[in-house]
Amino acid sequence: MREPPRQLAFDLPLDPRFGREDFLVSPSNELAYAQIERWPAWTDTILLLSGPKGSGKSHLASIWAAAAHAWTIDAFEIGEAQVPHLVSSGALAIENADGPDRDEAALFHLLNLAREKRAFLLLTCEKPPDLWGLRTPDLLSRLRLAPGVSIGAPDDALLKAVLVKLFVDRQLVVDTSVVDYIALRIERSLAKADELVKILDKEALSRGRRVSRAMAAEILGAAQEMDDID
Amino acid sequence: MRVTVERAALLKALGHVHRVVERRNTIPILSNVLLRGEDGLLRLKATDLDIEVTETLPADISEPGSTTVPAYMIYDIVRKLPDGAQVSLEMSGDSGQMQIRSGRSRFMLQALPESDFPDLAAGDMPHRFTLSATDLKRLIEKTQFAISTEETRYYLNGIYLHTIDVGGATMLRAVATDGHRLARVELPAPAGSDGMPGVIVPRKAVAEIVKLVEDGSETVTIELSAAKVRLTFDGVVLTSKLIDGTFPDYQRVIPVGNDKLLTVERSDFAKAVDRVSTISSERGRAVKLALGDGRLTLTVTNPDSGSATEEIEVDYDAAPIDIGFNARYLLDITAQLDGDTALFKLADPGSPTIVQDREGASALYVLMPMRV
Repeated sequence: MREPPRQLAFDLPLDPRFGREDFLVSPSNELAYAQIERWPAWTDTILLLSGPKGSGKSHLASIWAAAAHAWTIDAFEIGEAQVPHLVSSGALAIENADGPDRDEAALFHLLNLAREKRAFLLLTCEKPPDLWGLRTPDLLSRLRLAPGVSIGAPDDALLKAVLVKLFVDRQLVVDTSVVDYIALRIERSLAKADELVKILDKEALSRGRRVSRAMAAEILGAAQEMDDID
Repeated sequence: MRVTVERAALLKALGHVHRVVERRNTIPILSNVLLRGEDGLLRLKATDLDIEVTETLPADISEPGSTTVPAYMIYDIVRKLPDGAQVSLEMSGDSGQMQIRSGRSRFMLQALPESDFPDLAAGDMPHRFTLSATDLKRLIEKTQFAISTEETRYYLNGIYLHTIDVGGATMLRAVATDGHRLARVELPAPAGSDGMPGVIVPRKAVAEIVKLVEDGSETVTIELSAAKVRLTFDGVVLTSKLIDGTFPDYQRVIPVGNDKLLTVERSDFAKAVDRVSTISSERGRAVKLALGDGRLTLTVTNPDSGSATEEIEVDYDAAPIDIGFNARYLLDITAQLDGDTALFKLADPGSPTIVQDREGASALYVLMPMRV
């Protein structure tokens, strides 16, 4: 059957809120949060922050970067030549340390120089260093020795709170019953929650309707079908 | 309180203030208009707790005082009194009722004391500038139609008023969008507006401002804080809360590289769109625009009722393109344009299209297409 005409909507930009007051602490992330809060009284000058996608690593890194006046850089952007400059600020947050296309020699150099200069480093990653597929054994051993803290899968309360925050960030008024409905039915992942809220926002804007339970059910159903096909 | 006032003046003032009163109220005093007579002036005030309108008019005050009475009722009474009549308003003793007398008519209205009447404390308004009524009207009228009516998306339920630097000149801009279309109008920023915060004036206040500005005031003084706006017309003052939200960075949805230029005769185009859309269903009012060399074909297909096609001659020499739009939106936007022609700047069937009177016009509209 021919699909009915469908109104497209503007992609109205949104700035995520990464302030300290916006971070939601729960049993799954309280250890990591405590470590970030403890700075500069860390046991070492380096900290590995690991956790699944969308679990709040970047948010914690941004809180830390603000407190430590640190620069933030994605691991793939680090080149040998910039290392002295990057370390010179005394604190650096490196995002997606286990992401693809990183320069291992540059990273190794950076770790060494940071240690020498007593500069603080915060690395965010999804997996422990053994699973990064590193080809530089010295780099791997350095990272293995670095203290780490991980964020677990979100618990119920956090998932709901994050859903509420995501809707609030998008300035959408949504009934608590909608949040409860979604929280019961989505995968226990903050990345999934973020994705779903983004789709709901767009769909509601396109239809010119409020985000309702029926709309959530429809989108969740469609997402479920997509997953089944995959 | 005992006040005598000319019927026409009272009716005009009540006409201005009574509109902000909601028809249904859980708090009884919000249905009332405040009347206060002192120093040769009668002052009227009404509010819905978000907007407050006050108006002052000369009156014969034989006994100063104040009271509040149901706004719609007193408005209807005064409206039905004969033209040219004198109206006397009088609180009679402790009965809690106000008497309205005019000629042989006599009304007693249940009154509530002024002490219960809410005050929309305006606070400090650090920014102040003046606009001509014509300019204010233009800023509002050209953008009002694009305000979102979806209540849960509160940050789009108003007109975003702000100043911006455009090529070295400061402009005062009004922007509204509902996510499907966007309207942007600008004029050189008046003295005093520079440095004002960007504010979102709510839809209801916008509607009231339009009516007040049409009532013949020459200039309007606008005062602003981060939370409230106050507009002063001849004898009428409207104070409104602003929307407590962040207007999105709308500039990022206004395309800059749209290179397919279409110029149409505005009225011919609008009439053709209106004609073919007759066939469309209420829900999906999609019209397809097929553009080829110097020719535009408008098509509407409705599985329930049939189809319609119309061809018009246009000025277009870019690559052929098929793009769908909501017919209602096309008509809304072409109705806002002032010139005889309309300039469309298109990119592709899935991207925003710009509509203007001509290149560089002070009003700019952006429209998202429909997938057809």
